[in-house]
Amino acid sequence: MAEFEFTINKGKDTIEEFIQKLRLREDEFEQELKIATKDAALYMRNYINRRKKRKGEREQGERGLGEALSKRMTVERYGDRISVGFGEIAYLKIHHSYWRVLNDGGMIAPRTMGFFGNRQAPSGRQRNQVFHYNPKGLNKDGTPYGKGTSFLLYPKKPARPIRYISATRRYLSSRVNKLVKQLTTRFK
Amino acid sequence: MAQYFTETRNCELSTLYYLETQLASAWSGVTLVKSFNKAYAKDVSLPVVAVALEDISTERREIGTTAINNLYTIAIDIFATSDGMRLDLVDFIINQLKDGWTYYIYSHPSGSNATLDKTADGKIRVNSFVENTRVEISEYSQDVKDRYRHTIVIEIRK
Repeated sequence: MAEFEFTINKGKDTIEEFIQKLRLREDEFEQELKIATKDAALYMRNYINRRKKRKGEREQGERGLGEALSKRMTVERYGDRISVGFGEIAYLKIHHSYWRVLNDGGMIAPRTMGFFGNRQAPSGRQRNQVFHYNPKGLNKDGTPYGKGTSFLLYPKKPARPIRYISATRRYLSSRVNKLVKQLTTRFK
Repeated sequence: MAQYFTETRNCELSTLYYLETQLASAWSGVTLVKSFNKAYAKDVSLPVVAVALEDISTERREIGTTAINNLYTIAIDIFATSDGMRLDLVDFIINQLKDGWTYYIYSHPSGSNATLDKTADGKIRVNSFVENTRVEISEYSQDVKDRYRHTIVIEIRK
């Protein structure tokens, strides 16, 4: 939920007059905010794609978390508040259950199911890999490793946080500040 | 000749130095580390505070000049031993940050890489508090260090 503050020019308008004038521009503001939110969604997608370690594309569905978040953005009005959201928890839980770990980082559970974008698992013996991947075994669905959609992974060290949520929040906040300045300077 | 550090490194080191001093004066046993991964090292015990400079945003200071303004994003990860301690550490750190802290210019003295010299040169201020939130990843992690975590993200400028 984002809240927006407006700067008032002292000595020009009373607060009531200022609010009255802003009310007339509510729709204009909302339209501009929708454009800024679309840009923020694109920014978030690129931010994730630039920083994620295992690059590549899944063969089916959307291409990773960035796209899943950016395709499900909402701008909704609740009275005097405008809420901006990215992603849909129910969808993320099924298709991109790692979204929270990617943002916050951490030492994930002893064994976990995970994806390698292009289904090419790097050797777990490589020093720069967070996960150790056991080549002799079966996936959860009974298929051999490397043949199914996911791998059983053994973490060797903590996953570093990407913090894409705070980065997007910074981006959107900067856009909104500029937008509010543009709208309010017309009252001078 | 002494080798002076850049503004970015100075901002990170000044922030680390400030938080380390403040935590040491008010808390006992809190370890401050410089990167996220170090917080998980086996020889580092809880509670831990990890501080790192994550991003830099650059913008023109004003039209007509070549001068630039840098905004630095600092992430502070808190790993506590209880929920109460997590909240206390968050409050303490936010209170320390709100008034700003000294900016130091760091340098290696001539011929030595092992020690750092520092000279005060102004102040660092918090431009905005971007995020201050509990990290809840218990469904993925059973590690004791992930049990009571909190993240503070701030944007600072010199």
